Amino acid sequence: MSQRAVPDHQIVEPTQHGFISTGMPTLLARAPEWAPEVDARLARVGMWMWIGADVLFFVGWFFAFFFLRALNNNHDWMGAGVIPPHRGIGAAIVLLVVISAALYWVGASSVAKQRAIGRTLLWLALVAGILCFVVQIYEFKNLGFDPQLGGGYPSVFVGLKGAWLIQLVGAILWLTSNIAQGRPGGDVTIRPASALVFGHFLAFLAGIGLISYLVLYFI
Amino acid sequence: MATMSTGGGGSLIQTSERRIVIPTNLVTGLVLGVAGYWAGVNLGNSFALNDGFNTGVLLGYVFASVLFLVGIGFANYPLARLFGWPVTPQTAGDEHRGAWRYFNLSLDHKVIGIQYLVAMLMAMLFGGIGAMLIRTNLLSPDQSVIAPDTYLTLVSMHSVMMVFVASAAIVGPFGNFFVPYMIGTNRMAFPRLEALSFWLVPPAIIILLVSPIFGGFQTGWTGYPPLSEQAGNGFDSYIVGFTLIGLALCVSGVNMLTTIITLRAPGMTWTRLPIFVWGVFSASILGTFAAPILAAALSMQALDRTLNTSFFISSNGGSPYLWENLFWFFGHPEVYIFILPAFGIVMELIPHFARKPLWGYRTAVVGLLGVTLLSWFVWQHHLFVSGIAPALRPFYMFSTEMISIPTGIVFLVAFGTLWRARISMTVPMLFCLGFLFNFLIGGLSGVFLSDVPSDVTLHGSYFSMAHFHYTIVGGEIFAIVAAIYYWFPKMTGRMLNNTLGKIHFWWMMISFNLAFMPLFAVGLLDMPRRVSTYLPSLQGLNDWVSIWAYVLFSSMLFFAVNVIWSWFFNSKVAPADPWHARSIEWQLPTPLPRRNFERIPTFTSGPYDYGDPNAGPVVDLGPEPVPV
Repeated sequence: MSQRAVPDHQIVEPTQHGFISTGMPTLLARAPEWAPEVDARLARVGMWMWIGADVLFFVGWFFAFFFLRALNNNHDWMGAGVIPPHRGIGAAIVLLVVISAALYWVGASSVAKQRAIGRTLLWLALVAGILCFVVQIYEFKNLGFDPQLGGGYPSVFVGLKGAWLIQLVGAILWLTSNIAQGRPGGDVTIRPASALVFGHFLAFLAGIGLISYLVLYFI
Repeated sequence: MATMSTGGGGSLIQTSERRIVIPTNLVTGLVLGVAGYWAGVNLGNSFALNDGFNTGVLLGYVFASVLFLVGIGFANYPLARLFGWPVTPQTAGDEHRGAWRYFNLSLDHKVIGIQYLVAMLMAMLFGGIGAMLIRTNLLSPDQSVIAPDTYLTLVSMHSVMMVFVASAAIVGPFGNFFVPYMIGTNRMAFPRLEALSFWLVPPAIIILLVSPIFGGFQTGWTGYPPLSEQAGNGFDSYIVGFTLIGLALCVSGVNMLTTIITLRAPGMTWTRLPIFVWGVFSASILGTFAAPILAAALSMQALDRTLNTSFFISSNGGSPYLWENLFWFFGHPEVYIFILPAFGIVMELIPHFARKPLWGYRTAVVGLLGVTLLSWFVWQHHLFVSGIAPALRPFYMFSTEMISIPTGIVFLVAFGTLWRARISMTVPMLFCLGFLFNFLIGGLSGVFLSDVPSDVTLHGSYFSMAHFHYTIVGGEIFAIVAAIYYWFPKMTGRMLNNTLGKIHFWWMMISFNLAFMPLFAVGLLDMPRRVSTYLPSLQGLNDWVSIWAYVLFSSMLFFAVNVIWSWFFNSKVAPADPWHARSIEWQLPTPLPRRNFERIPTFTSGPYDYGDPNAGPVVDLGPEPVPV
């Protein structure tokens, strides 16, 4: 075995490309397996896997929406007395989560180079996320229906939005941890690429929020 | 300045300035778990919902599981991040803890593999005892031994427990232990997720086992409404236990897929990937993307039982058929999560003992991926008798029959490798051959269940039950046992006794077939599944089955004695490569060093190039690492 003269941490494409192998990175022989570059790549691939899994999770809820709506069992999809929530509140929730995701994206991209600006943007993203949570709770408190009284729509509304809200809370906590790690020498400054990948998840949540809004408030 | 323990075990926060020291280990986990259950039950009951205390029991299980994980040490890393304390990605802390590391949070994939192996064997024992009780009840055609509802709870717990086992018993122990070696890396992509995938399993098993305290559940493993809506608090175990297992499948899949895609060593191209890794890869695709559907469906069940929503209640705008669709959209890929890694094991082992290259390696990969793809398009065949639109039946009949093509390819590859080979009849090889025989019967009987006309007659009968036991017990369990005999020397440093192994094989093979083959006949004679009574005319066949089921169970005693004696009482260290195999794990010393490779290896040829005089070594492990 000949030692290839390459710097540590370097990542290259594999030398033998098959059809499927193209684009799949392989670590070069001497690359330490815990290098930040390695973590960045793992974080990207892992996040896309996680988002893919989460897509299927929400597919289950959207399937329930369309299935029960089409079936309208006992004419109780949206029974008498069920008033869909106000579209303005739903729009505010979506807007806030989109703003949070956008601010996080810009902030995480710049935190390694312009720390002050980056951290400010991350803080603003956190505020937007918390506001989104608060408005969502407000909406839950002021629903125009009681899910305990039956009906397909109320069930899906509470379930889908509740599942989304739980994930939003998790995302807010992780966002907070990224702010805490945004100090000099913190994890976010050492491994900015890994932190940036989290923005994909926030963007995904924003996307699901938008689709939920269109489905639950307009269809 | 504060120092953090972010790896396995240790304390939550070890700091000279902040004297907050919370030891995190199994004991802490158990204590917090019990406290969490108590807190969750009281919190849930304080809501005073008209829900039959389901909220309390469900929250109790959830709090117990979460706090158990916190006590084990899973909150260390996120809390450290949240408080802004230094975090380090390195695994740490396993070296000097001896056997105790197996009872604590470890980020070492080898430790996690062993943890999984032992946990799965224990769960299999629980499930097996359940099966023996079921067969004991069926010694008599009336209800003289076990009350009907208890019988149904037994059937349900046996099935759910065995589904837990079948889902994780290959990827968990062998995938976690050997995939990093086989692709040439020192680490998993996400060691914490890997550890989490294991530590979700014990709470799931315990929660399932306590179900009888709350009346058990009589729904079988499918949990169909309206039975599930009417079930008592025992069914809450099903919801939380299955959710935990689904989450374990998902995080394990994310970790495994990312590892295989990203961390392959130089030279480990996709076309050199050991076929076992392909099996794990295929199953991980299904676990990652199918389990979330189950999680969504179980959340709906939980909401129906706590907030009184109406997802599955027809009279209130819901539909039980929604559950059936969601459940089987997960459930059918799930059965391939069982079997794809088993295919991987069998195709991995056969070339080593046939001393021939794997015949049609690329075709085998296509077969595995073909099954993976098609498994998403067959779920409605479980609903042939549940109100499926008649127009859809031909499509799902056709798609289900189509899946026999890639499955047949796998068989073709196995038999092509065995053709004119000089086969070493070692114990692992015997179990592989047993797998091929049993799974062939299981697969062929499945064709009848994919056809609408015959399925309508056979679906609820013992024929169906015999079919899936031939695939899961005769197939997957045989493959698992083959893998244990094969990899045990590398995992533990000890050889299993060959004579005991051969007795075990023949005892198990004969008793399995004598126990399960008559069940096809019992099914054709119209004995329904999940019913504790049957026609007196079927008692002879049932008694025959029960007796051979006991014999089958007893065959595992040989296995247990072999494993325990070899592991704990045999002082002789196994040779590094007792099978004279080419694959990389056998090129490493036994016992395995804690760090897999001193430097990342370079793969220079495939693992199955037997009989080729020009074949080079499979891997270049290289000289000493270059000083940096």
